[in-house]
Formats: sequence, C-alpha cells, structure tokens
Amino acid sequence: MTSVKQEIVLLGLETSGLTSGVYLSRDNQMLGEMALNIRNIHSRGVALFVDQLIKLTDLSLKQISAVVVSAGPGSFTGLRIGYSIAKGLAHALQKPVIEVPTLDVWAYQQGQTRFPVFSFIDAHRQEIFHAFYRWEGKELKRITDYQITAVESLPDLVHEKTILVGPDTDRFSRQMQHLLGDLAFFAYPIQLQLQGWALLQLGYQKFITEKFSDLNSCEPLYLRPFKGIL
Amino acid sequence: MTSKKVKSGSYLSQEILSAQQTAAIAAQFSSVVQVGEVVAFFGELGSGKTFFIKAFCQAAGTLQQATSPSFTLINEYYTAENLFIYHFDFYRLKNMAELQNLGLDDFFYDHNICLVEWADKILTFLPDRRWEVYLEFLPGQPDGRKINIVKKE
Repeated sequence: MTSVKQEIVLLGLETSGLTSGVYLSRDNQMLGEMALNIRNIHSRGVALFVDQLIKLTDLSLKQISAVVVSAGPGSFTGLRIGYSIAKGLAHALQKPVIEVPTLDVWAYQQGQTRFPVFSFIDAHRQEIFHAFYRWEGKELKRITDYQITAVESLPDLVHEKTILVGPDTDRFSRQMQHLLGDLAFFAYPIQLQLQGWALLQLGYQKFITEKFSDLNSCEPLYLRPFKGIL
Repeated sequence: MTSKKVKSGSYLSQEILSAQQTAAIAAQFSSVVQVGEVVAFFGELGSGKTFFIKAFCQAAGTLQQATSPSFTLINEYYTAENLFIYHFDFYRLKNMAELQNLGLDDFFYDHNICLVEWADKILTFLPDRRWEVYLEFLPGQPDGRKINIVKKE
C-alpha cells in the first residue's frame, strides 16, 4: 500500500492597506496571485479573487489546508473585511486560520541582511506602528513588541544603522532621514507593496509548527487603543 | 476642486441674510477644499449645517443629493470624476462602540473629502489638520447667519 503525501495548500489574504491581494501556494511554492491597488476595492475584490484564483489553478476550496490572513496593523475596515472572509472560509471548510502580523511580512520580504530591520506602517496623526527584527541565520527574529510611536521619537528607538521598510517608506523617507541621518537606510529597490509569497512563506512556517489561531476569538492586530471620550 | 492650497488661519468671516447667500458661500468653499481634507461643522440645531453641505456637494458635482445622515451616521456621495465625499452626522451618536465600529481613521486619512456635522461630539478623533465651519444665528434674522471658516494645521 502506498501512502499519498498530503499537499499543503495555503490561501493568503491581504487587506491591511491599499492592496487587495489573494495568494495561493502549494508546498511552500507560489502557485498564483491576484492583487489590485485600488481604493475601496476590498469588499468587492477579495471574494472574487478567491473564486477566480481557485478556478484558474484547477483547485477546489476543499483542497485548501489553511487560510493565512495578513493580521495588521493597518486599515480598520480593510482588516475587518480580510478577517471576515478568512473566518467565513475557514469555518465553512473546517480548516484552520493562520494569522501573520503584517509588519512581519514587510520585514521578511526585504530579505536576509546583517542590519537590523525596522518595519513600520503609517498609524496617522504622525504616529507609526512598528517592530524591530534581526536575521539569525535563515530565520527572521522579531526583537521588540509591536508598538505605536510618534515619528518624532524615532531617534530614541534607532541607535545603529537600520533598514527601514514598509508600505509608507516613500512618504516618510525624507522625514526619517532627517531624524536619523546616516542611521536610516532604505534598501533599493524600495518595496511599496506587500508580497504574497512572503505572507505565505511565513504562513507555511506557522502551518508546519501548527500555530493556528482560534477561529472564534482571533481578531486583527489593531494596536491603537480606542481612547475617545463622549 | 482647485489645486491651490489655502494657508492656515481664518479663511472667511461673514454675516449673511439669506439662504441663497449661504449656498453661494458653500459653493465657493467647495472649490477650495482639497482631496484628503476634513471639514468639521459646528452650530446649533437648525443653524444650517446640512443645508451648507447640500450646497457644497451640489457645487462639487456629486451624483447624489446630500441628505442628513442622522440615523445612518455616514452618507457616501461621489462625483463623475470619482471624488468621494463622506458626510457624517454625530448628533445621535449613542456610545463609543458605535464610533469604534466606524473605523473613522480610514475615512479621515484617505483620498476623499469628509464633512462632519456635530464635530464637537468626536473632537478627539478629528485630524489636527482640518477645516472648521461655524454657523451662528443672527438675532432677529430668521435666515441670517454668521459664518466663520477657519483652517487649522
């Protein structure tokens, strides 16, 4: 009797920012992706892309091993759409959800480097969401918590030459260069779009170590405490 | 919309005597507000905030007529050129959870125009850079108003 190796098929969803992205990998190899960088498209685009991508790759939804969701921080509404679709699919297919913090993806897709990596996303009000990373061999290690900080406070955080990455690098580069001088390093080419392969590779690492999220309680990594007064 | 950016400070302070004059000011103001800007409206009930916004949207060329979003909290309008205008009304805002579920930052920091009635109810959530429009009654003048427009940076 021969044993058939079970393929690991991951479906990735990115809605944390401008990009509406749906990605598929099989055994950690990229199978396909569909993405649009158009405003207000998440609610119309993502479910359509899932359907199209599954059809075009001759797969069925039942073959998906897990749904990998870009967990934020980022757009409040975008993340809610991503999580709704991820949870809906996972529930219907009875498959696990894997959450990958979006800052991790940005740090990872920049590739291995000997410098520390500072991954950040615009939090508005002159604040940024961020985390620090270092490569140890072939493994990317996060060395700080996910935080939210005023951009002006960057000199308190960065003390050595650091690669700054994220979707808002272009917009903040001048201000950050001004604040940090030679310590700020923007790797060329500057990437402004989250890469599906990076999301799915990090998702794959979690899949094989069975780091699944609880379907009922998992929620986006919003980071900003809700602090209003009525 | 024009491409000319207005500096911070008082933009307009005027006493008007008719609704037509309010509409004219709103129409003129709509050509000054830039994509990505937020306009906060202050004024008592019946002071003409929604009327001002209707005229603003009409002049901006929205395909929908602006109506009060008192019960829906947000109305969405757009022009043939794909300019989106979001019209908020927080008069009936009940609790923080309602506000939390709106994801206001997604509106306030995107490429659209946000017009916010009863802005004093959500002051801590507004961007520091914003327009403020104040509408006050003029004593003895049913359609008379004092209109102040300020730009904050």
